[in-house]
Amino acid sequence: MTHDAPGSGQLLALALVAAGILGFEVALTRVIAIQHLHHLAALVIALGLLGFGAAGAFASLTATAIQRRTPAWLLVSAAGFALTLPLSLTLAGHIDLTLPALAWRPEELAGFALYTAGFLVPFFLGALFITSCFVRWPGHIGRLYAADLIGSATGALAVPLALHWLSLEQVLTLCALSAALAIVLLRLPMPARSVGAGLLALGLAAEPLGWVTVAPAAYKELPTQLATRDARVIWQRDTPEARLAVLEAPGLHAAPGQSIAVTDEAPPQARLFFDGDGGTPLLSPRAPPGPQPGVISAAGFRLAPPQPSVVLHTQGSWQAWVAAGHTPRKLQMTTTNGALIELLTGQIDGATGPGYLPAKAMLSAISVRRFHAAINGPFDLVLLELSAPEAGLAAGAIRYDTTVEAFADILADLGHQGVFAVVTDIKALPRYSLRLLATAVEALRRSGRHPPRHVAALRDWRTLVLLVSAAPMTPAQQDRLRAFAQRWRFDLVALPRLQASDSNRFHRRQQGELYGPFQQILARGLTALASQYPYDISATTDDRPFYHRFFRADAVPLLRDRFGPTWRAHLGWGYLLHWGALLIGLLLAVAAILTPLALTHWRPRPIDCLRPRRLVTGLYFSALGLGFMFVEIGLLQKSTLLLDATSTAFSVVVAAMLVGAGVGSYWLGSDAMPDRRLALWLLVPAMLAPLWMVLFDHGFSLAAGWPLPARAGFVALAVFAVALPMGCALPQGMRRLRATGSATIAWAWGVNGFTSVLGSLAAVLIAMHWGFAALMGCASLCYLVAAVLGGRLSPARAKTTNARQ
Amino acid sequence: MHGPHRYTSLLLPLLCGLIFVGLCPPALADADRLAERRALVQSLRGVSPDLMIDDPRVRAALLAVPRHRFVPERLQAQAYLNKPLPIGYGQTISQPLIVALMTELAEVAPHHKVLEIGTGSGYQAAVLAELTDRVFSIEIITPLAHQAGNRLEVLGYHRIQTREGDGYYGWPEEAPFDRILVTAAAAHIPPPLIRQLRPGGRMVIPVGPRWGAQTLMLVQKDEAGETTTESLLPVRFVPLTRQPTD
Repeated sequence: MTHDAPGSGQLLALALVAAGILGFEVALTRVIAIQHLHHLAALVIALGLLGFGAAGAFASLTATAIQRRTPAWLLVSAAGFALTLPLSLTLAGHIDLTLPALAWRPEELAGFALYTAGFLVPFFLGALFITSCFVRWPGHIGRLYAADLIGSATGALAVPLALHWLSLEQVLTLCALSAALAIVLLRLPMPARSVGAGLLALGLAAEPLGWVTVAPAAYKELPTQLATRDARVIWQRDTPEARLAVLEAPGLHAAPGQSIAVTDEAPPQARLFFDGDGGTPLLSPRAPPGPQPGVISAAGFRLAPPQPSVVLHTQGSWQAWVAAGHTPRKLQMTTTNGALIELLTGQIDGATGPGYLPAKAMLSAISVRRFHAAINGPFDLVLLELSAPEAGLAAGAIRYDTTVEAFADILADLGHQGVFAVVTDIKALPRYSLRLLATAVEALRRSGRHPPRHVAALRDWRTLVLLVSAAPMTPAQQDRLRAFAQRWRFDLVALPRLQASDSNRFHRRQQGELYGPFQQILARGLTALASQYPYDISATTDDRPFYHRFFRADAVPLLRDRFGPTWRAHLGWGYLLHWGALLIGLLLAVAAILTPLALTHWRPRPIDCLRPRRLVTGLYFSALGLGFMFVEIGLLQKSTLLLDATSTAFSVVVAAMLVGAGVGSYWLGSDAMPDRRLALWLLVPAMLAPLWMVLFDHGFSLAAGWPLPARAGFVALAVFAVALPMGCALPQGMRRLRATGSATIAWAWGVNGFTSVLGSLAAVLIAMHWGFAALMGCASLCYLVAAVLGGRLSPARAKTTNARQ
Repeated sequence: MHGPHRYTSLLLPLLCGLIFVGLCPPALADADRLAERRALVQSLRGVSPDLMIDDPRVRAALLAVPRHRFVPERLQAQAYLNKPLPIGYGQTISQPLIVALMTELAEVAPHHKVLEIGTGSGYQAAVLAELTDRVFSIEIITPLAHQAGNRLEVLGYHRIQTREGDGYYGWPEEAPFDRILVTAAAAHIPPPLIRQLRPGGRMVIPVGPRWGAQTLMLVQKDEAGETTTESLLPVRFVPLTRQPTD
């Protein structure tokens, strides 16, 4: 380790550690989803990634020591990452945490903080390895940064791909092994390399011995069901989107939406779990269930013509069997999970079985939005079944199948007598059902239809089905629906000329009756109701697809009035947790950024050479950190529309961002660049970021029918184009700080790390409130600021400025 | 030891004793923890004018059952807080308010035959047994069923009949029942339970997440055998902070 420039071994080691870190980040989304709730994954990881900023701040204080004993620092940080990765998982698995009880058990917050803090350690150590490389070879940051980014891109792509064949535990072990391999490649002295070899051996033994395990928390549905008599998991598979598990037990009797007037028992069934939760029944053709006329979702068949052409956007097989009982002419189903298709169609592990679907059902691997953009109807009945998570923890999650644009697409695919049915849960105070109605009303209005003539709804005690017809409902259709409701004791909520006395009869609700709000929205739109309702129930759009976000700060008093002492349970905790995480991150970032500056008074080699441009340096690297994450999150969320699944979008967008920025760093960051040229390069992302939003919106209708490689290529190319100029910003900035010493470089790296984390949290909040277009506007602003400040970083410029003063 | 030093040497043990008494859990001071139970029961009022816990028989039943005997050892200190507590296997002993409201809503008379689905810790069954002699309880989780059966036996609730089994099918050999209490919400109301409910009978079910706000649902079967449901107010999150005024 005596060379002035990093060798290929060092660059490869750096790329391996970076791949391990990003691979761990991606795999961690699965870990958190399985152990607790996937809605919190982004939040936990963002906080965990504060380790990056902390590593930068720490390295700025220890830069001299790092330079003096680089091999030891690299060894300790890489070995530390390899060891603490499985340890953090073990710790996380042992924390007694019941997240759904967050609203009434304050101690859960402490558990949540501990859970998150555990993941901070491996990120800190991994990032310390990278920062140590920067400190050791400050003259080669362009190459180092390129190796870091390309390694990260490899990790981002490799983990989701590996999850098609390997278990999550095996993938996590590989992430730790990548750091162990890096130690071997570092050309360190023999004792240090033997540490790497030992860690490799340990890692290879870890998986078969079951040292790394990821299991759902005890409060989740799967462990609860597994505790019942004779219950067993008969099949389990990790996929990039979810861990699927099929449970068999004699005590399974689900029949979602079944009428209270049905006297038959639920059919024999297995149950499908996604990440240990959300059990949905699986019915086998070996014991085919009889017709299920008394299920609330069957209401759609009362409006549709006989022998309809049906499209089901549901999970599991329950609705397919309900539909099969109505002798459809065609039964088309969609899902985005390939392993689920194998399971439902009986093509598991190369063997052919009966599966869980009726003979007529055809299952396609496509999202709801792409299905309706790429495959034209007409269809007689389209059914969308939606889940409604509790406690509002999903506030930051996006859905493109419940937006006004989605409803408009589906309505356009209906035949003349076609019906769109949406099934959802009813909460103590309705919110999802009202948002869906507001969305339907908006979509109908945009297509020139008069909503009250096209909308019907009925409910039981926990499920509501919203029916939207392509043509005004005829008296005959209305009569059929009334007869259906009467026969199966469902309450009508909306129907042309429905009276209040016709509603709330069989399933009376003391609070949160739906008839009144439905009538208000249908007759006068949302405006009148919105101001007095405790939730934000406005329609979601493709620009703001936050279907689960209902929180309104100004409506908290209304919530307190409505629910008295139970009001906290009805808050949107996911939204508040985002704000909490942002505030915590901000406090930690400010403390960690300012601490090295404060300590300069006590140190022999202070960062005081930074002092004349301290603010400029901080602002420049903050703008880069925020801007990069705004662009990345915006493009990631938006490209989900085209790439079907968030996991695919994550891999493609993050890999393209990192490769683009890596190539930019290598190409444009290795040599000195004049200030004016740097400013011009930074103006490119400032201009492209908002333009890309328009491109994605228009590109969707064009590319929706393309195969996945073409769609992924389209997205990757667009992302690469915007990321390439972004890649030069950091190395060029650091190049300008080189004269000020390694400590300043490490400090700037820390600032960039912290603001990246804050950017990822703030991006979601900005998008929630103002939409993705506004988020990209903010990204533009950040790069404009960086373009202005980039020229002020160099010492020559500062000296000139000081001389003028 | 002579003179004042003799008293000084006594002072230390005395002080330690006082500290011990002050710090020791109320369980040691009051083995049956009646005072805590009384405070808890007095604090349970209800959630609305329509849904109050004002039946003196229900209050007496809650006062009679030692909740701490149904709570795991490590959670003894929280036994008389108005909140649900974990009892293992992902299950909870319900919040006292919910137990009280479910019992109140069931309107159990001494001659009623009552079926409970989901024995859990056995606490709800014990409360019901204070109101009627004919209580039947089913639990599907084997270890919980055994633990609850033993616990009820030890506590002297010999009249409660428990069994390990699938509550979905009810207890057909003993049907019909005047009252049915389901302590774990299902995705739909099991038809066998509706069949086993006597005309004029009442079934009480908590709806909603185990760990979140639950809404109590009352299912009533009229004399013609027609069934209706009524979703009442959401319950939970009533902290035990205010002292009773009466």
